Amino acid sequence: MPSTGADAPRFTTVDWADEASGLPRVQVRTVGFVVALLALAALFAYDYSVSPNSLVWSWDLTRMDWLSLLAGVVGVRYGVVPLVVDRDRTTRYVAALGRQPAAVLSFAYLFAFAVLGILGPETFGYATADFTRELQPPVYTSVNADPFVNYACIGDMVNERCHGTWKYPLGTTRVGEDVAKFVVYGMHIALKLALSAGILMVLVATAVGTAAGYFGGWIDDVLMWYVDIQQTIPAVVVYIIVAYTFLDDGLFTLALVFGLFDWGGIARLLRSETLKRRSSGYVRAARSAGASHLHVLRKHVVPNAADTIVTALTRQIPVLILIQVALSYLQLNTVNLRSLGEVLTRGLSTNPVPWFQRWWVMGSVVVFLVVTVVAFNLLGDAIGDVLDGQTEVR
Amino acid sequence: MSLVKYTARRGALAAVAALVAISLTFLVVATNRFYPVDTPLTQQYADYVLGVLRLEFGYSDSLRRPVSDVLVASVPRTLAYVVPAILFTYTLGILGGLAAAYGTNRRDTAARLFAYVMLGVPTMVVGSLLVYELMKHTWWASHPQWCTADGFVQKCWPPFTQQNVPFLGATEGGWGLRTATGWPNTEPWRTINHRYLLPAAVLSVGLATGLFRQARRAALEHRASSVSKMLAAKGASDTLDARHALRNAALPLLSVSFAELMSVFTIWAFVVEAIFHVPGITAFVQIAVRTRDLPLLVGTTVVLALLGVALSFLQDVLYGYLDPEVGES
Repeated sequence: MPSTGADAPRFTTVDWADEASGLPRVQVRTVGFVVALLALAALFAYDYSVSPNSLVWSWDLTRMDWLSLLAGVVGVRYGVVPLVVDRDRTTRYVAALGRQPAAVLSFAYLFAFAVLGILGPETFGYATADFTRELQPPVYTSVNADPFVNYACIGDMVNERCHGTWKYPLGTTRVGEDVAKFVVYGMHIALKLALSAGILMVLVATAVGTAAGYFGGWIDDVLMWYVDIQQTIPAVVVYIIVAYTFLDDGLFTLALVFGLFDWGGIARLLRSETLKRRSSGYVRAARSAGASHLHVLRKHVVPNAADTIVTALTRQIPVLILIQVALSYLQLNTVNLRSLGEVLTRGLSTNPVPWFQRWWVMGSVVVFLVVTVVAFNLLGDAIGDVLDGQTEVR
Repeated sequence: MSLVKYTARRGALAAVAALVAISLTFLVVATNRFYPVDTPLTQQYADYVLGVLRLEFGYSDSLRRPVSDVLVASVPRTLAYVVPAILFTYTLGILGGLAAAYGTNRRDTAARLFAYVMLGVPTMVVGSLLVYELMKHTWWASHPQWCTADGFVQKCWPPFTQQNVPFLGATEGGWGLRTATGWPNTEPWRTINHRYLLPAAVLSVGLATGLFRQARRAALEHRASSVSKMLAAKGASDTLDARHALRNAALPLLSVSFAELMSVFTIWAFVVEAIFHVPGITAFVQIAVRTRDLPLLVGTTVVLALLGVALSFLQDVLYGYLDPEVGES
């Protein structure tokens, strides 16, 4: 149930020097953002022209990595920096979220997911085949070793049952690949996809949604017509066409196509949100004080729609991760190493033993996906409750 | 605005959307030619659009028949499970949402968690496990994966193809009950029958969550309203109150949910056809991709996009019918 208790009025400090200065003041965050973008561009130019094979040592960046880095810079500028700068508001959010155990748990999980996604594959290594350690069960579980041929149990063998060890906490596949490493690599893929497609979606949807809602008239008509048309053509279909005729079936294509063609829902939400704000007191006050449309949009309309954007993203991102897994299951999307979809294919196959005799291969992937989807959605519910029009930026 | 005028406007929009979809595929065709074409581009475009309107998509080399023949056979099969799936999804999502909103707090949390978990379990897992179970009992279910066994060596192929050659029939050695890892068969799905309800049910499992969430929120909003209080004061039961909630929530449910469903719907349709071996449109998209058959790819994707346009148009008309503002003058 949404909270019904009335909140006490809050007084916020306004930096009048910042608001009232005639000349546009250059802020530290803007400088930092431009410097970061320039550094990224310089690195890209260096990588492209001087050393195409590797950037530093043997580290070679693909175009997906570049897109993720760019998205990361934009995400830090518009997601992290405002939270750090406006500490007052951040503490309020944290306190409000802290009252909901489900939100805290979800946030903790998603934080771990992000850290593991960035650092995990390099720290723990990549899954490799090793026939001396095939089909080890996960830790604290055991498996009947009878049906397996040439089987070597790494843990304890008790009554013909092999017990799992901490060495392979999620067990191994039939060729001895560590399932935990698959899952960590899956997190890496999911994070890159979520970050780059998410940022692209937010950028386009914010521009279109707020412009349509704020200006109204023919701009609204044209933009919403476009959104209507775009939403009738499924992004998956566009992806398949683009992947097999123009680009390749990699993660980059997927992020690009979904980032540029799957934002209609967010734009629509933002439009109705902007419609509500357009005639509110603070927008009219800012306008009559001489603020430009751009200023009003940047300072009043978009910041107040932050909850809508974040909640919409918590709905969209898990679906995106599921779509990537489904596409790689159908072998319509390939990543450098094994993606979770391929692991699912193997986990579900009956070779050499039916799936339920090595349930952990499929089980780990399903549990990872379920926990990720549930965490995103619960966090979205909590954020929606906390930010739902309670703390307006005026 | 009268209903007729509203319908005409949405119809015009659907026509524009269809033209956009066709034009985009023309772009694909025009940029992927192997041979030079002398006629000017505008002429090519006009010919192409007219060809699509006459359902002429050229000849599929990999299947050795005209693409339109393939489409005529496959579109009904896809619709045979998509239409029931939409009905299932709406029923499941709305009833679940109402049950959660009108239940105790604990039941509400449980229902919410269950819905999110069901969203997270990939459809291929639900579908595959169901097919494994069916394989024990029925003659027509065959192994969900597309694998061939050569002695001890098993090799798995992308759905509906083997060595980049379309594969739709049964191999030697049979399939289903007799051999556990036999090559799958599309035979039981050639004609439309009651079995199509099965993929429909599997498809709706992963889709109902979005509707569930919106139905729940709408019902909660309704319960907080004074109308609901008045109904309760007059002695109305929860069921009656829920009916009021549903009627008020019908418009937002229709307008937001369908567009949100679209991309998820398509990807799970691909998965469901692959797992149940239904030779529908998405099956032929996959064949076209593997065999690099451009006419087939263009034909199938145009039809997929046009199906999306048609379904959105139907949704718009339903919206207009339910919206009290449309129809007032």
